[in-house]
Amino acid sequence: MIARLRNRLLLRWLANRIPGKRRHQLDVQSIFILPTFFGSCFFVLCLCMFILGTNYQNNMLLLLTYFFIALGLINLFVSYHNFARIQLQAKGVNPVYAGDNATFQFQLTAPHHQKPSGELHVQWWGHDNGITVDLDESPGNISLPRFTYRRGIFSLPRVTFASEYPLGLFRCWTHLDFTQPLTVYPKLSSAGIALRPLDAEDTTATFHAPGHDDFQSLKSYHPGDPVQRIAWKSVAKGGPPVVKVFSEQAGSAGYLMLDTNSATLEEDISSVAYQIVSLSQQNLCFGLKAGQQIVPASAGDAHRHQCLALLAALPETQSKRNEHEQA
Amino acid sequence: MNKHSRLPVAGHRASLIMSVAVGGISLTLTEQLMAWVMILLVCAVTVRFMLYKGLYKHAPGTRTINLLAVLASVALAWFAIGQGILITMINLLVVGCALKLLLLNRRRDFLQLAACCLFLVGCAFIFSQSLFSTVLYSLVLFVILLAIQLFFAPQLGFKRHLKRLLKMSLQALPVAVLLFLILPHLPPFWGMPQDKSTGTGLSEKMTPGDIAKLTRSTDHVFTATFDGDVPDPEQRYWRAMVLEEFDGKSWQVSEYRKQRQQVMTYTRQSYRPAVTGPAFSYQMLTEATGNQWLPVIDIALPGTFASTEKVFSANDYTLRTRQPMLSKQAFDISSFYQASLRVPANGLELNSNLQLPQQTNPRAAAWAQQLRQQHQSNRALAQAVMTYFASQGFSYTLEPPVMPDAPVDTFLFDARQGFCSHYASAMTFVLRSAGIPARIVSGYQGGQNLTDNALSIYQYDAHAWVEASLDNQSWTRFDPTAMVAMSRLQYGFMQAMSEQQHDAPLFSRANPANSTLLNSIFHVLDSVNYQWNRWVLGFDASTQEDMVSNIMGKATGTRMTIFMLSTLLFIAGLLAFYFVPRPVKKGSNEAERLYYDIQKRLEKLTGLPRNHLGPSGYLTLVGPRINSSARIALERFTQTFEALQYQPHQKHYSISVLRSQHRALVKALRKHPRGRHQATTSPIPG
Repeated sequence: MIARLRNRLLLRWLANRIPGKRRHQLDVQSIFILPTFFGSCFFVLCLCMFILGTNYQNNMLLLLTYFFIALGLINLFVSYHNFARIQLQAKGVNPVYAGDNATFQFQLTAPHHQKPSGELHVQWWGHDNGITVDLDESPGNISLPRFTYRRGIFSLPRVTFASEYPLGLFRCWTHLDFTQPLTVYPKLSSAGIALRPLDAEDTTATFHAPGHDDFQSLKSYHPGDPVQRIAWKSVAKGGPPVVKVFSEQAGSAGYLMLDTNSATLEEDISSVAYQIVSLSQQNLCFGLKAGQQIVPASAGDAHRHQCLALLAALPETQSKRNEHEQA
Repeated sequence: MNKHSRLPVAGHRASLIMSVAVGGISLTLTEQLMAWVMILLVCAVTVRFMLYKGLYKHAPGTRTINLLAVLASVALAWFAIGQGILITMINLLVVGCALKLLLLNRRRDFLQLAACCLFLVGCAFIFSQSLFSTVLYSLVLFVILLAIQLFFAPQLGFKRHLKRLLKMSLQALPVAVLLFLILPHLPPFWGMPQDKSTGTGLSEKMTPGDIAKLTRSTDHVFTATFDGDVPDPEQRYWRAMVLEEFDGKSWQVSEYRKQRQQVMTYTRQSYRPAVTGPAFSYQMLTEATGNQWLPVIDIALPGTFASTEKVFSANDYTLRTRQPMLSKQAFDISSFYQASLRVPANGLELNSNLQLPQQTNPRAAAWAQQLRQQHQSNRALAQAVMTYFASQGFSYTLEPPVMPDAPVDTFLFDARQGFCSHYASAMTFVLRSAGIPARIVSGYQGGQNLTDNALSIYQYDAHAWVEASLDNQSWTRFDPTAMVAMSRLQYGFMQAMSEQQHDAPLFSRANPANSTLLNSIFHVLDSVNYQWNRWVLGFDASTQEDMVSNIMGKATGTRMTIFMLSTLLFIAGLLAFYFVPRPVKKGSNEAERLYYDIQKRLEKLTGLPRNHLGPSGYLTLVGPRINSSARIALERFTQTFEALQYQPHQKHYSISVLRSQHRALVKALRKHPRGRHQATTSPIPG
């Protein structure tokens, strides 16, 4: 409870201090720096050596102690400077199905001619594990995986970057918000395809799917046929206007229906999602009606993404939400 | 970032360098480490090397290491009794490092090892602070830091690692020196555990024969730097301790003096002898002997406040430090060489200096009675004893026959061979038998000139002589050894004993057969070390005070504060200088830099700014204003520059070509006559 409150306050404070941007140049505002555990031990060691040196009245020991302190001080600056050379730009994240790993891509650049060095630890806000990137290998593009549990449209959490270069005495870190939305499509669960007409009037309407459909034959032009289907080549040759006929045109477009008030909403969504994917794979034309929202019938990849995004964005039912909160 | 993340084994450079560092530390600590610890360490380093090379796949398991650790702690505990706590701790740390090195497979292990190593370097300074050791330890320290940096940036090139670390170290060094100079040098917080093995030199119990061992030692004891000239050789009697108790064979510091000194150590009192007359003022730089007594000339008093804090006078006119000298230390001393050593009024001291064990040396006692009858005055009697040594065929040797029973009798009447402690012991015995209070003083006599006003005293200068109270008012010094070996007194031990030093180690200071070259090398080394000792190791609170008052006049509280604050500000400024980002030079790559350099020169020469022209455009603009040789050079340069900038894959244009063309062009422009409107006849080709 306290941890959650703390987390929320911290996030709010961070949102003011390091507002979300697609591109971040690390600077005084965004870099935090504190001694690591090893660094604290190092300074305790300095204290011990100071006591030892004073008690033995040993000047070399004292000089060494001061050297260590000075080195620590220099390290503070070197560490910060090294970290401040980093520039990060979000490259976006591809949508995934719930339960899969989304990979957040971003680009790491160093605008200065002096490149940052050392290892950079990248992890999601609040996560213990992340990935380690060696800045000396100039990786450029970095992809950070994120496991997804449930569908929805989320904004990506902050990403924590940390470095302990050069001597591990200080840890420089920052929590960056790249303002990237992550769309998680519903999980797929296999189901039979059930295309239904949207309503009575619409059944007569023929539908012309654009794109890659198979060409079947030509028929003579009747007024009212779509202009773009006229075979201009034969017109140019001087023949009578003919219209191309495609195989699909035989069947009228159906709609996938989703009742948003269903008790088993999530299962329904999953099965609808499965249908969307399999229809798209067969390159068939379909529409989607989810509650009041309608995606007009169409086909193709963009259409698939549109439909799945709609599903992803559907609000959860009240019962489901409670369940999540308890979990 | 995960603390438990495993480290790679084979090919992990940081682990290898760290093991090299651990090996380096143990090499610098060979004197302190036990043989088996060294062997363990060598094994650990070898294993690490094999693991790095991939010759050996399996690192030893935790169970094996734990077993080894148990065995090692038992062994350490076993040996700990014979050694001081300090040596045991060092051995323990090194054993820990060796075992950790075997088990080095986690991030945490590595950092623990690094911290241990850093601490060990600090410990090494306890044992030696000479210039040579400092250089050696600095190297080891550098290797440790290198290993740590390699650990945090594993893919960075080795050369760049070296460069960056060197840069950081050089940046840290001035800050460290400044801190050292300004931060207050505190007195010890508490007494450190004494180490049994560190106490060398004279001891509080002297059996005739002991000093012979010391005279073989070329260890340095202290250096005295005099404000004026050094005292004459006959005056260089450095009194360290007074031996008053005699058991028939050995002389030692009497029990009541020991107790008194202990009380004075703890209560911070000091005896205040009344002094008159002129004094030698000198600064003593003592080696870390682990002892508390301070050899000084005659009646000596600490000269400065800092020294007063560190030493106290005992009522036998010796000086002792409040802390054992476990490191090099500086003391300012004034010796009142004309003041007489007064005998305390209560008669206790006189009585105890007449004490003799009964029936130990009957012949000497009888001879003393005989002398007493012959000589009424004490002075004449003492003189007679001295004359006896001079006239009865006594000789000075470092290898006298063994005198197990009645040593004084044997020495006086049979052997007649011996060195200072024999002579002093015999004379004191005879004087006491004759009713004259007498005691042995041990310390050092002589010293080698290091510079015009500095003397170096080595262990082989150890000496013992007699103090007798002829008038029951004050103590008079007698040196019976001088009767037989005057040269020792006048020229020092080295010359006097040259014929007896054949068994001294080769290349030793004590070996007079060494060439003059070697001698001069020793002398140069001594002088360098002396300066190092004097300025670095001898720097203490009083030196610091002097330094501040040299800079600021009188050191008052406010001025000290201002001084410290300004130095801290200076350090802040230094850091700012290191790290404030400088405006990035136009042109981040070298080709651009070279081009901007040429552009600046051309602008200055012709007065035509480049503005937004491209390189060829600028060439066309500037071309007519410069002479042909410069123009040709500029054409070539521009061509190469453009090729490098816009066709970076053309192999035969390289930065080195551009560099040489840049050089040629700069040369041509330098020779170029100045003037803005130099007309040229030839048109620009291309």
